[in-house]
Amino acid sequence: MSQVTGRSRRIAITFAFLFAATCASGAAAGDRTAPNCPLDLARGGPARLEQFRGKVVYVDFWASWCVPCLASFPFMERMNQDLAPRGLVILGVNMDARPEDAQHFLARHPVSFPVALSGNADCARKFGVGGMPSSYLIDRKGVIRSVHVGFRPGEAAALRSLVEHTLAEQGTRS
Amino acid sequence: MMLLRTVLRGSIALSLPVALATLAGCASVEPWERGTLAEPHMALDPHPARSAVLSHVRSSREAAATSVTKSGGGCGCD
Amino acid sequence: MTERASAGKLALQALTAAAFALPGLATPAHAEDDQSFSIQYSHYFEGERNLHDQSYSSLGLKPIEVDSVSADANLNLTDRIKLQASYSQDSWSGATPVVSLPNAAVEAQLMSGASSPNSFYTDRDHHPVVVDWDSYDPDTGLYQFRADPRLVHVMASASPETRQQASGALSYEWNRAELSAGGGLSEEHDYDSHFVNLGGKFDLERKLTTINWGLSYTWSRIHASLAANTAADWGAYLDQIRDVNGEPTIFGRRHDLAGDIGVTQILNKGALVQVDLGYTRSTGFLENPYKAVILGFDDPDQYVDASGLRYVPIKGVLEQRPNLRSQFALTVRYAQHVAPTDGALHAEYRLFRDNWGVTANSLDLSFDQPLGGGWVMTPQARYYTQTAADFYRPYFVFDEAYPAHPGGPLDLSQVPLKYFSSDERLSGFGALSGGLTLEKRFENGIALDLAYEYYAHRGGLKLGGGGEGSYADFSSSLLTASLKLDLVRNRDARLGAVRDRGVGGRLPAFVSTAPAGVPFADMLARGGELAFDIGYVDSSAKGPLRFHDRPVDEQEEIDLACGSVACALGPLSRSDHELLFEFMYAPTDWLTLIAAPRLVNRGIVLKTLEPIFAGAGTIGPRPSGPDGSGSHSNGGWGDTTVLAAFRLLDKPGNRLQAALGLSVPTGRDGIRLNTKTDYASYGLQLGSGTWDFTPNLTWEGRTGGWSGGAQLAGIKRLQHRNDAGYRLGDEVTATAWGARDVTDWLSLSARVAYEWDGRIKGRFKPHLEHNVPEQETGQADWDVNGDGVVDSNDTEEITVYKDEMLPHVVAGPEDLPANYGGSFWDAGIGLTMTVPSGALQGDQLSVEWLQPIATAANGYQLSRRGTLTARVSVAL
Repeated sequence: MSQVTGRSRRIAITFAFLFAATCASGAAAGDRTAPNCPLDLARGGPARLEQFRGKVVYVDFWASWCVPCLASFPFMERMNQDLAPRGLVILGVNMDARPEDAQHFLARHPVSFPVALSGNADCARKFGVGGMPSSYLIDRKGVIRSVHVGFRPGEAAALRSLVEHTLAEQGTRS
Repeated sequence: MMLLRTVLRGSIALSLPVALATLAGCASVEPWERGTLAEPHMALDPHPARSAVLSHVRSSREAAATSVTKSGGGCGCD
Repeated sequence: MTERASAGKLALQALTAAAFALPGLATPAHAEDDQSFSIQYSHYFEGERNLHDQSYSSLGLKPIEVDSVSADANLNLTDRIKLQASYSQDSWSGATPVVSLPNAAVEAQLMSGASSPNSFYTDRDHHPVVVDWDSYDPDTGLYQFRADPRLVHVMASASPETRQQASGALSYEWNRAELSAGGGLSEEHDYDSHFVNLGGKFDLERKLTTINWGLSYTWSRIHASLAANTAADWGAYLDQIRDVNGEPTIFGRRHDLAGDIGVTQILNKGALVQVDLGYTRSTGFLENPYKAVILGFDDPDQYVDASGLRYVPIKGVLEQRPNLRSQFALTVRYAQHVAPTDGALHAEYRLFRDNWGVTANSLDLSFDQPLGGGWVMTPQARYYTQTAADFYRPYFVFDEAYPAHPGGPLDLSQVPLKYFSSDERLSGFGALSGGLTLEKRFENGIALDLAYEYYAHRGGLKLGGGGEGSYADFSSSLLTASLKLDLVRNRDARLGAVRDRGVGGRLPAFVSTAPAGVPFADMLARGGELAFDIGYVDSSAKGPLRFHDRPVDEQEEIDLACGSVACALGPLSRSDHELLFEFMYAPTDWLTLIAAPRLVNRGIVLKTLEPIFAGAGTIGPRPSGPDGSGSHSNGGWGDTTVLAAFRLLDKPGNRLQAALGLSVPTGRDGIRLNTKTDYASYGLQLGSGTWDFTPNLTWEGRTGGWSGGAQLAGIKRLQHRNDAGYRLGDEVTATAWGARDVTDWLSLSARVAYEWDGRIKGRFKPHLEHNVPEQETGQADWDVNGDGVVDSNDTEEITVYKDEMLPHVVAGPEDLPANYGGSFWDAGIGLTMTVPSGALQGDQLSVEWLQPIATAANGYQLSRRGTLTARVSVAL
């Protein structure tokens, strides 16, 4: 009887792993140029990602229902206030299905960095977003330097120093 | 014999949703499309404290052992 | 009280059927990132069962009632380490079935006046009948009889017994997996259980598929008193029964190993499904020691009359179940979002099978419907059906002569069955239940909910028919109320409020860092704040009995500790624990209003004092057995304190507050245990029974890393007597403490306290006692005085049974008011932690141990062993 149990269980697990293998998608970093997404900024109108070339861009895909975003927003706001003069641009790309949910979240957590509401599914797909929230650090040349999925308060310090390090690099100001 | 049948049936049932999903296609739900699943009332057990009391009370009057909700689903936040 | 009035009432000790549920795998899992703190209160009560020609009130019974409280916390200790901790307690009381048997046997017992059913009659075709003994026809040699096919339960009562359970688990979270390990224990007076568990999950495919698994191991010890179960034969268990404090107690051990594995799969944007397979293996003592089984013996060679009327002697025996139970359970859960209404449909199907022959199916459907404004309504319905265990029958009849050992006890080796049980939990039946939950979620992360469920257990609802008869049907209701605090959202909302007001930094809600054992020393820092506090207080006292602080020997105890009578019982130990809930609201900056209900549990262990005093035991508590020696406990709601705390002085380093309080007598003071008619002792009552004035004055000072404080508090009873005829003494306490900050979030304290408790005034009033034997002179029907005629001069002494008002029996020192009160000095050490960061920032956790150092107690009292207090204060 235990053999039959074992076999059925093995079948089930094989299915699961096959599934995982065929569906696996990675958010690859390193030496990939950031996709030039069109973004409709709430306080700035239509824009494209390319227009921020020359600055370090921190693109954060977020949603009102994402619990870690409650902690990532104060972190990003503080980072924006401290590092924007040094050339950092933070873009919050909202993924809510209903823009009202995003507005409600922003009313309770006002931020000074630009936020793009609705219509960003295409952008998320191009970036290969694999979890919520996802943040992409793009250097002055437009290359994605790091991908961070999720947000834990203890990771904030390391993230921030990576951003500062990227800011310190010489960009192409020509 | 009865136990064997139960285990067989159980294992087949176990592989059923996995098979279903494989057939349904893997790109069915993007990470940013999990908003509805993240809502509190979409959790598999939206009232865990009440379920605990209910299963405790029922196990004193019914022969079937208690059952537990495990994690999974929800917002998939990392 | 005599046992004539009842049909075989086996006055048993408390049954907590829940003792036999497995707590190990039952800790509910929570969604990721769900840091929360929740408390829940629930009240369960059953309806009366059908006792045919008898009633609950005539037998002095009440249906089962359970009050339970649970508190759970889920916290992130670090980014990846999570802590889950739970505490719960339930108090059970009321009547529960012990055996089932033909109603004809109950009728036969009532007619014969026996103390418990010992036989019934059947016709030639083995159908139970009730015989009319006066109808004997000498010509035919036959009796008249009528069929009575009904079955009935014999119920037994339980006094409030409390079960406590605490458990915890630590988990580590990787990006795609989680591992958790935990353990806990559950304790009640007849059952102790310990468990450890291990569990985890793997996320596959971007968390669309999750595999969950769990393992748990539970080991339990049963030690149940059989003192009241004297009508049942214990034959099979003699080697497991020992005498404990004068009560025969059965001992057993039990081990349970359980495991389960499941897959959770997201099907689409609005649906997910989970399939779980579980296996449990239980070994050891799996019986319920309070349940008995009626075995009947129908000797094929004997009959009563020419019509074939048959006589079936019966005997109750403790049930016997196999030593191994293997259980399988398959559970499928499904959640589907309903877009048009933003509702969520939940369905759960469960299939259960074990090696005892029980197969059960259940289908549970519920629909969570948001109503707007944060309200959610959830109707719910469930159908459950189970088959009977192979060895279940309401009662058993064997075609053989009554197999007795010479001189009496049943010879179980002659019984052809090895396993038999009449526990209704193993019978065949169906159950239908329906309920409604109403929930309100607030923006600041607080969620309140109220739920009601009605449950109908009916033999007729069993799938496929063949369920137990309607005599076993019952209905029950469950009412639950809970408060859940989403810690992340709450802190987020509070920080937002701080931002809106233009004030920066961390604002603690509480101002006091008094040690845990100082009551009502705190108030809220600002107007508009709301907070919640739970305190747990555990104190005990042990023998030997002391008088003026010197130990007393047993002879002195018998002679002097009970006033004018000799003591029949003596206390061995006492234990009290209390769960205090404080709801705090500050309408202004200088005033905080507090409402504090509490759940109280009091217990005492008594032993019989030698020599047994003849004559002390005919009424009220008896010197030995269930009415006297052994352990007794009582649990339920105690008195509720309402307080207004005023801020008198608030300078940096110096704070003074005065509180005016009132103790509302919500705790019962006239409690009797089990089905007794006399009151339980003063120390076992749950409340004072009087309205009391409870003022206090608290001062706290701080300089640098040192702080200290003092409090003067009192209780003044505002009524002359409570409903039960007495009044507790007034109380005054004075305490002072000093504390040193060890880190910026932890401080250590040392405290001294003086408490004066006044004497109890008055005493329990007389109570109504039934069937008190009395000698009376009555008319004789024979010639007593030998004068040749039978007339009014012929009288004799006869025993009549009357209802009488009798004074409270003083069976032991705890029944005498003079043995309460005194002056007590204590010293304590404690620690207080103010959470520095994270979701619980600003909240407090404190623990203190208070040790008696000098006692000048009134009369004869046990020596106090110390008090442990633990408190959690959470700002809402």
